[in-house]
Amino acid sequence: MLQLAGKRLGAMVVIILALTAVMFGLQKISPLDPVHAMLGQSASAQAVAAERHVLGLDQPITAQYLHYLAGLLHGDLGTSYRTRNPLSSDLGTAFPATAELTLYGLIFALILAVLLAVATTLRWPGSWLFRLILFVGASMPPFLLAIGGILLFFVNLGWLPATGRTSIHNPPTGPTGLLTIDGLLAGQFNVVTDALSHLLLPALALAIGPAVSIGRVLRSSLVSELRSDYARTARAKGQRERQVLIRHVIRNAIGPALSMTGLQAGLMFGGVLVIEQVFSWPGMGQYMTQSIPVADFPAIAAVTLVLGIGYVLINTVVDLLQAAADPRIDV
Amino acid sequence: MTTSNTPLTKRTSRIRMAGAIAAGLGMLLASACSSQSSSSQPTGGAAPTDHVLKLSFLQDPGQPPDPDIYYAGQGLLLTNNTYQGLLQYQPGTAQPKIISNLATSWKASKNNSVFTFQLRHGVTFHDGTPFTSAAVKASFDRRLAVNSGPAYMVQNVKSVTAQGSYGVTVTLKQSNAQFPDYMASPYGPKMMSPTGLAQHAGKDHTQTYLRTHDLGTGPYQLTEAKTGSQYQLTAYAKYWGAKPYFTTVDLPVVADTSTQQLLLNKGDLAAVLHDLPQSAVQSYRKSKALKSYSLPSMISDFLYVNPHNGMLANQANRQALLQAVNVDQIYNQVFAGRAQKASQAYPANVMAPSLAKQNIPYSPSALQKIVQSLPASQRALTVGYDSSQSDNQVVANLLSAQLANYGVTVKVQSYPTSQIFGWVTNLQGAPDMLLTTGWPDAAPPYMWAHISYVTGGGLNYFQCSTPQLNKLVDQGLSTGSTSVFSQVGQLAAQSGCWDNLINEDDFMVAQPWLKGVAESHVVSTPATLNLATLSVG
Repeated sequence: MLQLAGKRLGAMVVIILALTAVMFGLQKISPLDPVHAMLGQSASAQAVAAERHVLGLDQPITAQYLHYLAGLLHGDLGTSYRTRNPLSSDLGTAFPATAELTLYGLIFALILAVLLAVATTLRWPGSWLFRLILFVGASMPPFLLAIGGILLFFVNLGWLPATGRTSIHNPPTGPTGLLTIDGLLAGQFNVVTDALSHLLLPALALAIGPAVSIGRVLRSSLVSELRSDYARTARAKGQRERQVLIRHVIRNAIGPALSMTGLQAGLMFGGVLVIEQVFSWPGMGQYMTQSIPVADFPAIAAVTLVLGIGYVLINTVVDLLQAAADPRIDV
Repeated sequence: MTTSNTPLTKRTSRIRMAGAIAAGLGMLLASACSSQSSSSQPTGGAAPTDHVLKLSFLQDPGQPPDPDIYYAGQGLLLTNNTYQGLLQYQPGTAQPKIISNLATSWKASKNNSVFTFQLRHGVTFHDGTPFTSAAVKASFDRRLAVNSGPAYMVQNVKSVTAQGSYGVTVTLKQSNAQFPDYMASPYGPKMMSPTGLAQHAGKDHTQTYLRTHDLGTGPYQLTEAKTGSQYQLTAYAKYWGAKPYFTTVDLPVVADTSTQQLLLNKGDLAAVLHDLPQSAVQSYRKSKALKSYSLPSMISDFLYVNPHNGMLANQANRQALLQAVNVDQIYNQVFAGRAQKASQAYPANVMAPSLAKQNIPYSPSALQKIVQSLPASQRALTVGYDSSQSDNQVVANLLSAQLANYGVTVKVQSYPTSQIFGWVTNLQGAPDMLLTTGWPDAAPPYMWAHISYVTGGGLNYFQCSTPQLNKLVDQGLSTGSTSVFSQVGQLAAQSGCWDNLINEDDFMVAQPWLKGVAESHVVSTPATLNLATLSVG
């Protein structure tokens, strides 16, 4: 276990170095001019030069890179050119929003995936209908699913809100930044229910694609394991199909599905960009979308770093879960 | 007799059921689609009884709501309702007329280098500090210290001298007839509480504090500022003017224009003040449930021609190219009902319509002849547009089709704003033509001429240089002479580097119960309303 942690920590350092180097390389060759975008068309040449100096952009790129790495070592991600806020502050707000959306998206995806796999494997009545609905949903682009959801559940039925994380002004802001958890901790249940109602549509729109991918892999493993000798033995001992599945098969079949979950969770961080845009979700995707046109390189670099680290962390957790599910796997 | 559970019957039954479900899904989809079309036929909503006005930002305003930093569009709604300058432009009229604001009267010396202002009594800042002459110097000094985009408006100030508590004399280093316009500009110096500036100065001249608070005298206070998520204004109880009807203004950030329209159509927003695409404009103009406004503005859609690229280095070729642009077609297909075809070299409402005529007739034959004489390798042109301006993407495609008729091979390409700004100093990678929308900081023609036409100007993207024009702009700065600026405009048009294609209106859509929209709009301030004069009726 320690070896795995060490390996992954090493991988994270390499990823951080690689990502920051790529970001700085791109900044160097990019034709974008963040200082002019910051100060506007009437800024004097003197003001532009002064701001360039303040931001350190008049230094050689290697000096800028080393300065950036030194800042990272002290937990300083820099300052956004656009919002003028420290990036730790901006991402401190945007990251929990994305994390909460992705977390619920993943939970929904896992629930739907397990239902899909188990229902179709055990041939529950109506399972084919469930599969059909999920497949139709997964075949649609996420933005279309999102817009369809808004039209149906917000415009037509008026059941769910269409935008934002909450309609409540000044909800609790700590300790986790996840409104559903902070609301619970603060005893403000209206915040929890309101946050959940805002989460439902975007999290489902995010979940359906990954649910089908994970569900299909899990189903394939389940079917294969159900044909194995130990399953046949269990049946011969008089166990019912459901008991065989729950007691013996699931644990053996879960490995490939966990791998797929890790992959899908990483991809969800990418997919969340579109979903955040449609639902005006104030997360990292929306933050990134607004940072790119104005060449806010520190913001772009910080989001890239957080996503890179998140990807490594998720895959580490998946590896550990796989090892826990099947001790034969050497992590 | 067959039993009902034979495999064949099961299969048939499943097929039927699948058919039924498919039909159901189809109906669901159709319902969503029909709701999409019905969403374009808005139902509107009832007037609020809680005195809360719900508007929105499309994306985030992008910069802090600090008037010494903010230098873009939609966030003017925050800075201009929380802060006030010494002067202002009169709302509700297309003619930019300067009227009093925190200064009740003002006087300029004969050579426009000394300005005296009498200040309003009984005004307090939102932190409770009384407004006196001390605030003028503190506010000017702070703008200089922050030294961001709008700082240029006070860089020419030599001294600010208090004449008692309610009088102030501003002496300039160099004569400037436009100085009162700077004071009235939506981007102009706003008065800030000197007490608050000192108290929250920190190491950055109060910039950190003003990201989430304000220190102004306006009818509203900034009570919430969550970047990318939500802003809120609350009426200031001790405001010196008439009390606003709306006590709270909620401004959520809506990232997507379709979602914004859905919220408006359903009555969840009172109005949308900016960035509606042409398809939505046409639909709202026909709507009976919502009221649309095409309000006078100084927003113009310009075509820039790069004099440093290929065949366009020749002035006659540039003029021929501009004459080949069918502006009528562009107007009809993209801007009809919310704009006018431009005839002047300046944005609309900047000077009398008879002045600064461009005189660019539609006559494609000259370009046709030029193109025929060119080798094939020189017939290719790139039309660029600002990627944040969806209208200009359509215009670029139209232009591409028009020029293709005359034998030009056209490539259309989008560029981010930050890249476009960079061409002012480095033309590498710049296209042959650029379509972009803009507006001046204030009404006088100087404000447009000095950034667009003068060499080194911040909007002179293709570094087009006309020495005679530069001299005239310098001359006009001290006198403010409209005839000089008319000449400047004509020279700019003759250079073939610029063509003002369209003068856009400020198009807004509101619920029918929202009263005072046109009266609350200021010609120089796009995408913004004076919220204090809005009401329900």
